[in-house]
Amino acid sequence: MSNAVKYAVSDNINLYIIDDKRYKTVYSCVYLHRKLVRSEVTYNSLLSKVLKTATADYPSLNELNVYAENLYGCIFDVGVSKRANIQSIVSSTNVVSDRFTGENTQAQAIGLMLDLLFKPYVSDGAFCEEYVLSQKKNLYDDIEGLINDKRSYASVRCIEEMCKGEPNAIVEIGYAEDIDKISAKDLYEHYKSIITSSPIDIFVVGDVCADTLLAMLKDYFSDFNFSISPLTIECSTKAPGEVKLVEDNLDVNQGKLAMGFRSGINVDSPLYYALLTGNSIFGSGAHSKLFNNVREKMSLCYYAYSRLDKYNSLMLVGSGIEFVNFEKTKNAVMAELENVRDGSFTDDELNIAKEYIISSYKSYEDSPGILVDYYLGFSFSDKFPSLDEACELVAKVTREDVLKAFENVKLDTVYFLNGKEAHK
Amino acid sequence: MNYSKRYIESLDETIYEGVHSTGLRVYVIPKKGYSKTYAIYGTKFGSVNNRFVPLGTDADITVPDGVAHFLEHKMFEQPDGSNAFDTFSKYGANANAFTSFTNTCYLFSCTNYFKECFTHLLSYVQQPYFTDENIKKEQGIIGQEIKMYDDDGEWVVEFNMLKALYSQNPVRIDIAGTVESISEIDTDVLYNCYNTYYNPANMVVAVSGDIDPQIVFDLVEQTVKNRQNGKVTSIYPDEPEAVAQKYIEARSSVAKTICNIGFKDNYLKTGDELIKREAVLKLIVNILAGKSSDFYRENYESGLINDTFGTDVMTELPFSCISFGGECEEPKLLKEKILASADKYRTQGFNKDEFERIKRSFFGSFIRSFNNVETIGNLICRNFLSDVDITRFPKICQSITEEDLSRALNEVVTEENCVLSVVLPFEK
Repeated sequence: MSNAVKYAVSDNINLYIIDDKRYKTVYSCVYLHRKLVRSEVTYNSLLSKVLKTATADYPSLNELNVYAENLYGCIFDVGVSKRANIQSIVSSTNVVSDRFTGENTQAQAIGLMLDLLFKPYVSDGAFCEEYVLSQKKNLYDDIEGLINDKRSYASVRCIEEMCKGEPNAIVEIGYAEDIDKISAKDLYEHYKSIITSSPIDIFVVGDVCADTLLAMLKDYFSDFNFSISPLTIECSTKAPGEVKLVEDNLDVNQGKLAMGFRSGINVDSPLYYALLTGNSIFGSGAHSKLFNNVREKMSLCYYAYSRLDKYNSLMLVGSGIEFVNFEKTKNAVMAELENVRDGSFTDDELNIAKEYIISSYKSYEDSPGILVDYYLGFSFSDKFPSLDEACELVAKVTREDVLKAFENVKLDTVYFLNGKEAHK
Repeated sequence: MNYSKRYIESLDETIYEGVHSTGLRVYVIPKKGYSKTYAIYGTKFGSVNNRFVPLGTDADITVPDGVAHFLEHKMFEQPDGSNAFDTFSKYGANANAFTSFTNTCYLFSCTNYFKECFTHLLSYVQQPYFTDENIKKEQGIIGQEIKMYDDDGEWVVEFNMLKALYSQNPVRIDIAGTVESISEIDTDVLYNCYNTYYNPANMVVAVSGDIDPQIVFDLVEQTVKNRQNGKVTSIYPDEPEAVAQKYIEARSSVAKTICNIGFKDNYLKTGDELIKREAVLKLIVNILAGKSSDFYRENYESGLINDTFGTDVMTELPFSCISFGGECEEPKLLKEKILASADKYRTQGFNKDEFERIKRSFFGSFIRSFNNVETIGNLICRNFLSDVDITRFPKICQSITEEDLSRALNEVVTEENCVLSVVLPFEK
């Protein structure tokens, strides 16, 4: 299967190449890693939006969009993401390969990905006032708009309540109350303070030549004076206490249940693949207990699933239900969890879950974006398994392993997005 | 079964196409070296098909709203009490289904056991099993699906726009129907729909992945049974040219006001003309309000629109429209700005550079779509479902002239074809 090959560009700047001739495109992205902290989170988020509006060569959003359209509709983006205690600013481009365009599109798109982050449009020692103002409004709208998708909102709120005091409680797109205080000058000062001091990971997926890329990057970075200290990734290890119950009320037609569990097992733990397998039996896929019992048999919902946060040792259940069915659904979820915990699942269920996970790992290699997200794990630990190795680890999981992994799974927080009185 | 083979140089892809003796159309697009194989099995039966002449009869019947979607859910029910998902799960495959305005499709992707999964797909879709009991159970599940969409402001603003554009065409009805309409569905209704629309001559199969086409054709030959088949007569009401209502408003738990500005296209097309119409309309929405337009620059800078702003084109056999929308506190002003952008191009004509640049970006995104087996399967399946040849898109797009754009602009983007749909947040 596709593997990522790692090259050192310089200290703490790594290049990962997934050389794959099957793709008709080249997908590239660069991650600038920061510690996920409350005082900086909104700065980084706003910064990503401002960086996306202009570069030194294309000093307005309009010019940037015209350039990208001419580049056969090159897709570009700058945003933020989080995992464990890390917030990353990510710039990416996705372009049609040279062999279809007959032009030098790949190198131009990789150049654009770099310029968005490293060669921003600056005037009079600051970002353009007007752009910052407009992006402050856009960021404000994004943050307020989290509520529009009730399903993910319930999950965000559950994590926020569950992980109070931990980095994971911090919402990576930032906080509305911070926005006003940030000036164009502050933001540029912040940019200068982080751009040459933060670890960088670059990924390129497609039909590309490693030597050419490496030479291009070395040349590109030769103008910069980097002094980068590595970041330590710290996963949450907090144990659950008393079960917390949290309820919000909104004018909605359907209630959203989110249940947060702690497992004490992250991707670096020997029991991780057993937990993953157990989670699949429990609530991931159409073979799972949540799908077959809570949806199909009890007819309580259209969707009910469980997913893992592999860095923070969390397991999260989500479902959309009638308000009156809150207790009933919660109890049904706990009953299914108990069934996995006490081994009430057949060998068939175990094997199907393993087959399902292996199949999804294999299918990762057909999607450049998902591949990169997976191999980002390399920046977390050198021991991080390749996709082939991960498949082998899943294949070895036994019933006893699953039981052992699930011994540690404990309910921490139950969140319910409930209706307002008039709607119930 | 016989099949033909066609190499498309601009895409560097080969398409195999055959027709089974029942009339079932079969496509295969091999993707060497891919891990996943994707198969999709579709019928020309969507939410707009609520009135038809059942196969083998003369009189037409009208069925409850949401029946195509309901039937999709019920196809997973197996006579032995199991669920069609179970077999896919056994092979580690990912299965799903969806219903649109015009089609229902069943699909899976797998990395192993393709033959088993494909045989299962072909088998379970030709084996309906409806009982009063399993219908009742589904009403609870779909009821929650409907409520989930009721809370989705973007969904509400778009469906309300269709309600405002169309007074008769069933595209104005929600795909899943309503809690009330689905309560009228019984086994007779489902079998009537199934026997008519799920006849092989009304269906298509497309497969993409690292697969030998011969295997696909052989499995179709072995698995697809001869059933009563024939051309389906769907009856659509006469839709007047005028829009149903100029303005529609609702409230939802959204952070900001969202709106959709829709324009009705009364010039319905088929075949190459449909692909061309779609490409012309996509060019128009991009030139008028795409990310590189003057409209976008001015209104993004002034804050009238934000990052959520986008455009859409829906061109199908029974309806066609375009839309512009996103979060916006002054929807009426936004509508005026869109119309002003159209007027500008009406007066000054289209700019060659702009027009060629957007064509280039379309070419890029078309090539990009052939990276992914799911996207390929869905695209090619449309060849039969919408009766077009989608691989001709780059050529047709290239042939479009400024005159084509000017004509379509006058036919579609006018004040009288325009509706405004608004979803407001609840008052705090």
